[in-house]
Amino acid sequence: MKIKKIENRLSFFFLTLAITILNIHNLSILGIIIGSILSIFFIFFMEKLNIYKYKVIKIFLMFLTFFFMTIYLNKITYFIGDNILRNYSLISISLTIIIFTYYLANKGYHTIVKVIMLASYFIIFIFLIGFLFLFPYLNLSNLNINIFTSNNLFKESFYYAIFIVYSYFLIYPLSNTKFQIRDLVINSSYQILSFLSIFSVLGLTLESLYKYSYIVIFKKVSLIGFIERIEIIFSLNYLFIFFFLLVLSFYQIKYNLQYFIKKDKNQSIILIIITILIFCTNLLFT
Amino acid sequence: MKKYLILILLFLVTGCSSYIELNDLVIINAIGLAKQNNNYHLYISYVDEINKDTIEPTTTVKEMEGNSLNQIIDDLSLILSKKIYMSHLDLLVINDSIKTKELENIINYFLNNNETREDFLVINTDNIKDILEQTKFKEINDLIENNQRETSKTIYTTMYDVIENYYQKENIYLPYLTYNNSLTLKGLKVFSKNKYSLIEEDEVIYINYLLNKINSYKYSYECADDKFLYLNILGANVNELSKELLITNEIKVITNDCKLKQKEIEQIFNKNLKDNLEKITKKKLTIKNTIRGTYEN
Repeated sequence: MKIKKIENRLSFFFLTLAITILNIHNLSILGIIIGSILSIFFIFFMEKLNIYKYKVIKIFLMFLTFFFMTIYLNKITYFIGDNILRNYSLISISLTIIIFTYYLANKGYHTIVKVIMLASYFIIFIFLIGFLFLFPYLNLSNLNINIFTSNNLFKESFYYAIFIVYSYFLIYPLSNTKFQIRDLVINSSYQILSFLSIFSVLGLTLESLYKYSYIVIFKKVSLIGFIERIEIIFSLNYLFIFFFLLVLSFYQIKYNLQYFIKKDKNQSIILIIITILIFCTNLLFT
Repeated sequence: MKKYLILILLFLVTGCSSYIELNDLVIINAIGLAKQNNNYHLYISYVDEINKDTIEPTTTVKEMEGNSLNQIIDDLSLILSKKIYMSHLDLLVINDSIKTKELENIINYFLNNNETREDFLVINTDNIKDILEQTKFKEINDLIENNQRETSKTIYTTMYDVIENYYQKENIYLPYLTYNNSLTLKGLKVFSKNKYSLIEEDEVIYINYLLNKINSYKYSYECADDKFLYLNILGANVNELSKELLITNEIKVITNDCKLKQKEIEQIFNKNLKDNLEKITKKKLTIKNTIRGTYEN
């Protein structure tokens, strides 16, 4: 079966969203805009040179993905431990995630994007509801010049461009589809919108104080004293997105590994990588 | 291979390991905090059991003492042999002994505790114990909420506001309540430069102007003997510029015994507002009004 364009677009959308949310404290709106423009140049430059065909790039990408996975697995484990399973051990959480990741990534790219497509109905519905609920809490006086720019604008933009290029490598070369600028425009617009809503609800001071400001905003929601404490639903929403980031990252390693190790021994090597991942994240960072 | 994976996952995703019975939780709904002799004095109001007659949960207030908030709450957990559950915290009551250092500790405690929500009400009082024992949260909440909405004589302050103002080094405004057989709202306590000062109810309106939190209030003026001008200020919008405050009031005339003209009403109202606001701000004031109701043209 052929992979639909919308499936790739949605996967790219969730990937960039997950990376932005996980790095929210290091970004500003102008940083996102400049970073998006930078990433367009990077991506077109790389597509022109067709750098993905080089083995060196594949090896570099594998190591980069491995590095990102260790960081993100740790962040996601803490996210679940702090917001969803508060009394659960962190090692069990990361073990569960990594096993699910391994399982889904081994099913292949087609299955992954189909799962993302299915989950997207739930995720998009919850996001729309979220914006609707947050509407009474938006306070435009909280938006000041500091949220639009920052002192490290160049650094921020460069980081954001790297995140986008990284997301690009997890989707487009693997599915043999061409990158389109409008995909990125939609993503960046949505991210700017979510940035604005977070800052306008919390303000710059509170946003910088909270580790999970994107969840804290939903703690404020209370409609007619009946619909409240809905942040757990939004935590689940983010959990899905973070999970897709790990699955696609893992698939990237698996996919590139096939170029170097032809035999089925790949499976065991990947398992070793997973074990290293779990130990790295839990022993080094926890 | 897949079978083993599924088996491992089955054990991992059961959720049984973190399961806690409802009866094993201490559900805290209000906290009172004071500092005496370098020790925190904590009053914890928690849901105890359901009253069979009224079918409403009864609350118990426990008094504890310790060096830090964390230590006291850990001690409480040991004494009651239950897990402390703060997600339903509705009210934090403090008194004047809570200064900058203590506020910082409180803020840190709540910021580091993912279980709590910072949307609970924070009030100041001299009778922490009485308020927690003799009143219900709904009573306090309604008193402050209605007063802010109808009279603008108080400010509904949540923990979010306290945290924000603390880090922005701005004044922290807390509703000041007293309890003497009944609950009374006595204005606002302002925490600034490590000390509290009291703002009387009538002056709170002008603080609300500065904070752009005016909902509605009544204004009365005795224009002649036993003759009054009553105005209902339905709302006000304040635009804060660098050196100027632009205030737009929406006013409804309720009683105009002296048959004053619109311009005269505006003059009287604006003069009073300016005089009071000039006491608390150095900014230039520009007041615009939309007046409707019964007045002489």
